[in-house]
Amino acid sequence: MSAPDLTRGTLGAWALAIRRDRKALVGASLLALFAVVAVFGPFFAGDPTALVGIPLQAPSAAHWLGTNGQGQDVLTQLIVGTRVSLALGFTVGILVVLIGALVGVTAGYFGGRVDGLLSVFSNVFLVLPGMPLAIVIAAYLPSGPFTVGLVLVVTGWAWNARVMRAQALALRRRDFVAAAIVAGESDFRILMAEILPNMMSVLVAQVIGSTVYAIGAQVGLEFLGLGDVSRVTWGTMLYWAQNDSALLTGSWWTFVPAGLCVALVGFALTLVNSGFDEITNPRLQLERFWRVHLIRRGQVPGRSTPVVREHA
Amino acid sequence: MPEPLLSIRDLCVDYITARGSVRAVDSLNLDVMPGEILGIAGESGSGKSTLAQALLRTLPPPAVISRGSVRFEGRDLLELNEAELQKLRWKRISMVFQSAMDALNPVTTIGEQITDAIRAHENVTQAVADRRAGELLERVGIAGDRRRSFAHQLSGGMRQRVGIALALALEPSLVILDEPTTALDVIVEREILEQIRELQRQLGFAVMFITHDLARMLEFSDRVAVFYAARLAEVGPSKDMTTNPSHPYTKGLLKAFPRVHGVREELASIPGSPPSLQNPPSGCRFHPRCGQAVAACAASTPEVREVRPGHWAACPFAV
Repeated sequence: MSAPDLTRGTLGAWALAIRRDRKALVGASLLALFAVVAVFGPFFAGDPTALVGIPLQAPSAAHWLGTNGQGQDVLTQLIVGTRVSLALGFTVGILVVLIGALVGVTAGYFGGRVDGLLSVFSNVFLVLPGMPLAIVIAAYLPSGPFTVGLVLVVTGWAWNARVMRAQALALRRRDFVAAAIVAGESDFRILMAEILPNMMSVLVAQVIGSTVYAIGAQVGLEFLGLGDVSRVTWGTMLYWAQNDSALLTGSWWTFVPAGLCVALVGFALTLVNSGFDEITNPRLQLERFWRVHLIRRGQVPGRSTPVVREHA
Repeated sequence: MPEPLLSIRDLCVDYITARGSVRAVDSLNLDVMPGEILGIAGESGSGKSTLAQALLRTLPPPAVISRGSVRFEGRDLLELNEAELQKLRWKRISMVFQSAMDALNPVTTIGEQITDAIRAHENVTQAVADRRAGELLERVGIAGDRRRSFAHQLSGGMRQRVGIALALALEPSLVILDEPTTALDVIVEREILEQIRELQRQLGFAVMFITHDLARMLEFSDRVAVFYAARLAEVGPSKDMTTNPSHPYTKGLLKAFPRVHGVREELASIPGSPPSLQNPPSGCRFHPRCGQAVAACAASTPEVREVRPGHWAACPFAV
């Protein structure tokens, strides 16, 4: 039996690493569930804005998650809202990392004046307070998911640029990059084929982190009423729950489901991240078996090489 | 017969993997006498570097020591706790690493690195430690005022000398040299080895010298231990080993080196390649490549027996 090669970034290897890690498996299953709901849910859920009953009914057989302050079905809204919330979260997460990587890697690789200019540029965005700026911009632009996304990308990319620049600086000095320069490879090819693949683990971690941030921030902006309140998303559900004094009336079912979904998606993404760590760092896998071996024999892994005596 | 300084008995080191464990050092018995230079020879993957790090208990995961004892200055290193190991490392057993560039911190001066090592173990003032750092550098042939230099300002040979000064900073009784001259040219290599021998005569520490360069080792060491596929093949005095090797593997190795002095001989290589430790050959691990092997060699593991006084070999045919 030969070891599956986990260092290659093929889909099969990724799937395998996720299956092997219980945490990643739980995370990936949760995400898959949300993805199915986001893609197919709206076709079956019906009209989320339809007035289906008396407002603020507690969960019942007819309305599994009750009705909101307008007499709309909470479950239908939750299902329909999944699509916008997730799509926006992942789009923003990926865009933020793409822009950050582009700016950061360019600055780190070329250095000198290019680095100076790009660093000043991203530093300016870093010192701008993100959330307040997001609120101000969102208030001026026409409301809707596009605005929310734009605001989050504009205020969110600079941190990624910093991280990517540091990575590029470190990789730039490695021998294999020097070898590629000597071999006459173009700058573009060196960036794409030599430097970026070595950043995969950081890139994936950043995409996941940024997506969690984007979903949270988007829900936050919409909760404050800075989104399009006539559209059904998890954020606007919370906005309307607050608007209808859900806490005062004790109608928990109007805000708990949406809040729980936001938390669950963030939780799932974080779990998946640990699985990706193992793909890009096969050493972590080895250490896991080692740790299990020690713990089964009642030892705590420490700094020194452990002595685990065999009892034949 | 003096007491050994270091006494390894039945030592086993395993690497834990997803598909079971791989034994990198298998049932090893070996002594290091006070003030001697013991050479450890073997091909890549034969377990020699694993042994060195196992003694200091600094093997990274997924390594585990699974059997045996290592007695050193009246204690078993395998029974020590974290704090006791911390006190012992560098103070009693120190190490010179293969790559001096990687072993030295690029952002602090070499003097600071030596004083840090001294002050981590001894309660002395910075001024005293600094003066000792200067003396140590003088000892290894570097001007004392170079202690203000950074690693990148020194040549490869000088860096390795700094590594040696660092290893001697706390006057340990055992210094492990893990292929200390692999990255150097032969002239600098010779200078450094001679320096180590000189210091060893003055200070009386024992040396465990690990390399795959058998010719260099036979010349430099008092005794030599030859490893093959995680096991000890042969151990004995260098002179005896050079003129009269016992184990077929050692014989093969020596035939593969050209002799500078004496009769001209045909060079011969050992057929085949080193075995995988994941799936080692049965019985004597050398039998698939051995010219003298008989059916019994594949059936049972040969015992390490004393073929001549002080000369041990793991082969039933060794004389």
